[in-house]
Amino acid sequence: MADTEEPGADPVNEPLDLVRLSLNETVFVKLRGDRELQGRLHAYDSHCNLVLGEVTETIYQVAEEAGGEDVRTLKKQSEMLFVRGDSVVLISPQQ
Amino acid sequence: MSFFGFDTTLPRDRQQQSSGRGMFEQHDPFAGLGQAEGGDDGEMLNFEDTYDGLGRNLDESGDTFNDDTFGGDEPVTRQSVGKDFDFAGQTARAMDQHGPQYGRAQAQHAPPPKPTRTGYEAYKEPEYIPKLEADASIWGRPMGRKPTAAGGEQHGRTDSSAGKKMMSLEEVEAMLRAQAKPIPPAMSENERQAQGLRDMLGVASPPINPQQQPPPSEQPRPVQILQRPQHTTRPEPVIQHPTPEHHLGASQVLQGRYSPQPPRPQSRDFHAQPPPQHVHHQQQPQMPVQPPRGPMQHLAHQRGPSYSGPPITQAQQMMQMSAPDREAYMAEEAKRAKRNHKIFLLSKNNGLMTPQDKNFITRIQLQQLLTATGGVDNEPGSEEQLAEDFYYQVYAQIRGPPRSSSGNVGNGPSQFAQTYLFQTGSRYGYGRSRHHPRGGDNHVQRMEQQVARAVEAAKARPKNKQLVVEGSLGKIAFSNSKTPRPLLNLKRPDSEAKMRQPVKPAAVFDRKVALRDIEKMYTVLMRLEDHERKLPPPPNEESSPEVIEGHMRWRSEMQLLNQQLWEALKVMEPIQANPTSPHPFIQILSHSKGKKAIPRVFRHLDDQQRLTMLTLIVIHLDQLDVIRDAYPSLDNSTPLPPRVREEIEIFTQAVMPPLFSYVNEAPLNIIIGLLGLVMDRVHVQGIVRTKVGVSVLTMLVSRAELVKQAQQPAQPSPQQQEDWSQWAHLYNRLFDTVEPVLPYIFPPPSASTTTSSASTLDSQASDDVHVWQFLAAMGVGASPDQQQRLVLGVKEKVMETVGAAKALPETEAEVKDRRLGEVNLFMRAIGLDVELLG
Repeated sequence: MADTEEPGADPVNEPLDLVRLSLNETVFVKLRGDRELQGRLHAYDSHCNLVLGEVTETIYQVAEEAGGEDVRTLKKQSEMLFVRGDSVVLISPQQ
Repeated sequence: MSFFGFDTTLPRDRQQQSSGRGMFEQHDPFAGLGQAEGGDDGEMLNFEDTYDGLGRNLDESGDTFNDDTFGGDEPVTRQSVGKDFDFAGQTARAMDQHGPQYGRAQAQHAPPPKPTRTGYEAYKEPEYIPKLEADASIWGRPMGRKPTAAGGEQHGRTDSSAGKKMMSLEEVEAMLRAQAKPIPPAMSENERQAQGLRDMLGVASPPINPQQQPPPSEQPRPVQILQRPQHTTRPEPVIQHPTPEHHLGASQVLQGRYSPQPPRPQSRDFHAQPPPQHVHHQQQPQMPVQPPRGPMQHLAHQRGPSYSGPPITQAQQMMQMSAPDREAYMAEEAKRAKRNHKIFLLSKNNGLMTPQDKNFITRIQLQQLLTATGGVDNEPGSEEQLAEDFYYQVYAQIRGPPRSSSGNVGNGPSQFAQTYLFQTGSRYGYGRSRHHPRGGDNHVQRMEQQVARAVEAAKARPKNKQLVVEGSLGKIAFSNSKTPRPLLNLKRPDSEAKMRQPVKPAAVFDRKVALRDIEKMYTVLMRLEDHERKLPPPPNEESSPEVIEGHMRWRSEMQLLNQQLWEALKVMEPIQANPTSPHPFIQILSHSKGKKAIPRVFRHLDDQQRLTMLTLIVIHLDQLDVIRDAYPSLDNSTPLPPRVREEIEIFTQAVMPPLFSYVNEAPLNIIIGLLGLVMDRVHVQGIVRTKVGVSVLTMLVSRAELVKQAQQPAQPSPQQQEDWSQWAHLYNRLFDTVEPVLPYIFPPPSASTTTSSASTLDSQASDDVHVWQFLAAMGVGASPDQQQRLVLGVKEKVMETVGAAKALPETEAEVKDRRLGEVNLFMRAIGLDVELLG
């Protein structure tokens, strides 16, 4: 629908249209707060609100320990996830 | 004597008062509340009980001359207006001498003193202006308590209400009914009197004559004014039809002559009071009652139409009714009370808004409706409107074509109005239909008209977004929420020319290119589907030229879009002899969203295009990701990764069905051609080990077999014979190619494989059914020799599967049956059965 006036034209006209190419593909999404998502992109909008399916969420936690810092990762699985756009740092196709 | 409804009688007088009560007291419905049930039936609500006595503490010192001013403690109506003309000064003076005692006594024991007074004054002085006061004796109460009857209610709310809380309508009615029964005789005295009078007159219904209503400005007798208006109307027949022979007439005429004011009912009553009439009205009960009851209807409330009997204003009438009648009346009354209450609740906020207010609100709503739906700026059924209101548009299409036969999908204002007012209309229609069947319709009609007008007005707005006022240098640009005024006016670059340039040379395999192709295809596909939705009704003989032209335009547009879709599919891209990358179409198919688009696309393609697409797929069969990535590992042990399995699943569910439906109708020569291509260009021994590859082969072989069986009985033409020999040749080639790999065509155990036989079989069940189908398809067309070889090739697998299935416990009977059924598919094809295997 982004391109109604030019039917045969390239569907990518603006940066965000690159996200469109990843629709229904697996994407890697980096979020604020040391979180990363990996899942199938079902939908997005101009605010980078995303709907992801079969998501693996990775949370990086830095725990202070006696000997120094220890980075722990926490993984979560979600069947479907709505991501509010204001926390999205980057979206990258995953292959 | 008080204007404000206070009981001015002293406690010592109250004894007398209660004994001298009149019918009016009885009539007070409110009094019944304060009254103890069955107790002192004569005692009304005791004012002293509720009165806090503050009034007694008032400084009464300033009222020394009150008597001079207001004529003493006697009832106001008795004040001597015409004192100067009162030649019967003696009487007055004597009365004054009696003082308040007299007045009160007179009020309470009216009957005794009355005859003397009236007779004396009226007849002694011809110029005497009759004092048309309401004599307390009639009501049997002190006059001073009357002003609270201000409402002039039919039910005679009297003074006692002052000391009581407000009551709801229901309470009043309920109490009325309750009170009506126990004390009807006293209550009906007044009524009986009036009735008796009419009986005697033989007068028909007394029409209500407004001119006869007394002017309310008479200051000397405010009390009278405040009295029940029904009495003011009741005497009118008497006045209108003076019947001289009637004894009452005399006093009436007299009164009419002498009185400068219109006659007042009370005064008439007062004059009618003399003994002869009294006798009459005592006799009344013996007189026929029926005639006068009819006329009374006019005096009564307008009652609900369902109660057919004469309206009832007095309890006495109720007594005269038969039991069932009373029952019905009571029920009717209750219903009416309930309805009144409901009306009251509903009408609580009535009149808050003026018609102008309502109009204003309606206009705002309409405006919002128009804006919300894209309004009139957009053509009905246009892209913009569809984008604005997609779900409604689709819903409207699903629900059926518009009722009227106009060519457009949307019928403009009227349909719009109907749609959006549908609910409102029905609501009003329902609510009002019972009472005002046309009211609701009118309302909706009005709304529709208003919508139509609003639409017209919106259309009349300047269409172009700019207005050049003559003589001015600048332009005025209009903007609204839909089309904001453009602040920048940039020329859009010719995107096609610019974009094409860099893409063309980079024809190398690129994942991104494939993704772009897919998006492009989807864009065109959606446009095509949108356009399909706008299909105008097929033109016929009577169609106007515009309709036909519109249809033609639609068709040409459809053709154009179809062409664009075909291009976007990239099927016709040249096939390179030594490709460095898969064919673009195959790349599209390598993404799951590309696969999912195929059934949608397939609908829009014609036969030639379908065949081309199928051919392209068949040629590149081994390049399809679902085959390329699906080759089992050499040792047949590692299962396919879940992602590949998923893709295979999507392919078999999305791409195969349309292809299959096409092949199912294809003639033999096309099958031969396709299979020949497979044999020539594809590594059959490889693809036969993949699910999709086997499925494609099964599809082709089984179709050929079906065609062969269908054509068998007919005399084969030379062309057909040629086809058959060609097919046989091809089949033999295929058989020879496949035979060596027969033991390996069964898929490896799936990922969930465990040692548990049941779960293995269960998960495998869906995995190798296609293999059995393929074997069956091959077996049907095989010669006995080939069948033998076929059986030899898969013998181990058959024995293994049947053995495992038969070893299944009874609880797995379903799985067992299915497994055996699958094997039987093949066995029966070659004329055997699993049962034969023992």
